[in-house]
Amino acid sequence: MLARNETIFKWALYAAAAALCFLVQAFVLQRFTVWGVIPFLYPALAAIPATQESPVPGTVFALTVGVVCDLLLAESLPCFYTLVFPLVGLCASLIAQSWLPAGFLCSLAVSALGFVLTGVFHCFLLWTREKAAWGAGAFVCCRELLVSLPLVIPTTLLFSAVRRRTHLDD
Amino acid sequence: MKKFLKDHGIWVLFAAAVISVALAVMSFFSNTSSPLVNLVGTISSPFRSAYTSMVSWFNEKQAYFEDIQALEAENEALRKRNAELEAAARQAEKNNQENALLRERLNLREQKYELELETAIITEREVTNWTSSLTLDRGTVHGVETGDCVVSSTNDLVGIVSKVGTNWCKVLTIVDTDTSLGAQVFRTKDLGLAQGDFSLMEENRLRLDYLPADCQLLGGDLVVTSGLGGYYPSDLVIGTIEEVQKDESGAASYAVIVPAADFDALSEVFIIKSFDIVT
Repeated sequence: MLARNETIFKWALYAAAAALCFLVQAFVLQRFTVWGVIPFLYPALAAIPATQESPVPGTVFALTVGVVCDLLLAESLPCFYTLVFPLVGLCASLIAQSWLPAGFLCSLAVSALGFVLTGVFHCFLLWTREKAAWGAGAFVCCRELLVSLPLVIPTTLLFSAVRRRTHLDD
Repeated sequence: MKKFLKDHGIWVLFAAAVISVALAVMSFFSNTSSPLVNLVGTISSPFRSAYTSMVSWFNEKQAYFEDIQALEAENEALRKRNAELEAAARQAEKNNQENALLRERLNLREQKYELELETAIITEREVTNWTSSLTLDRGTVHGVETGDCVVSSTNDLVGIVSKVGTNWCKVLTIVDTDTSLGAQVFRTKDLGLAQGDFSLMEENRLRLDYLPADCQLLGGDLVVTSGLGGYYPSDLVIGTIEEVQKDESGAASYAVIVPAADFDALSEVFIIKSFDIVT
């Protein structure tokens, strides 16, 4: 159990790491396309820290990432990421606790889940507006996943470093 | 999972619901953008502009050393095109004079096509793979409003302003799935609805729907804004017809439009803040 000031320090470091990821996405990744898609870090950013925490803090962190994404990105639904990312965070945390211990493999699995959930929600919204594009949506989602998965490794390293720095007793 | 949902699920759901509703309500009731979105956009706008300027400078330097033969060939083609356009302009001037004379004789009211434009620089392009948008460096302080049309230097329609902040605005391009506007085929005068389609968005194409059953469209037909309803100016070039296809049901047909504006090549655009058109 961490003391209050240690907890604050831990979440400040998590926030700084997340801010770094946001900067990399905004100033580097979204300036080029690979295989016709922009590498997209945010679903992984909601999922990976959650694998290292219990479900409540993991979900709340993912919720915060979702709110920030909604403030920064233009989507047809103003609360798109606020709705999807808590679910991603919750699933990621539960998977890490029950099936796959936190690590690269777990990060890859939960990030993939994050991309799939985000893609499915996008397709669902298109369907509700009578502009269904399940096939095209699945294709974009697959390419986004393949292009972005390599970024999961440095992101996992970053958040693992934060975890090690703040949980010296583990 | 059951235990977690039992203990904390309601609070997580509550927090997500409150934030979602707050963002949605702020967005719905605001004529521009919600205060939080505006704050984030206003703070990040100068950084986006600075970064884009830097990248543009590097690209310009790189382009400076491009193949000189390609530039010479392009120059030659442009000279020919310029000569053709000068001839067309001379003919149009004669037609205008004749038109003005005939209108005067028939006591018709004077035609007007006045647009109030605001020059803007593109500071950011698509930020996700699910939308087609641009961020510009002009906002409410420059008189920009939601729903304003954005055109290129050649008067080709680029998109519609969807969100406005103090010193920035987001533009959904005409190929985005949230964009739909009244359109008219210039040659046949057939009316339709030009709207984005996710399956076509990646190829930079859009659809022309609700066409009359007896329409006879040809590849290359020009499509312009209809101006019906008065929301958008008329006669802005949307693009040209590429092909006509049957929809999923097979009962109705739609046309695929190639936008006239090249979104990737744009760096500067013009926002139509107001218009006064009399035809």
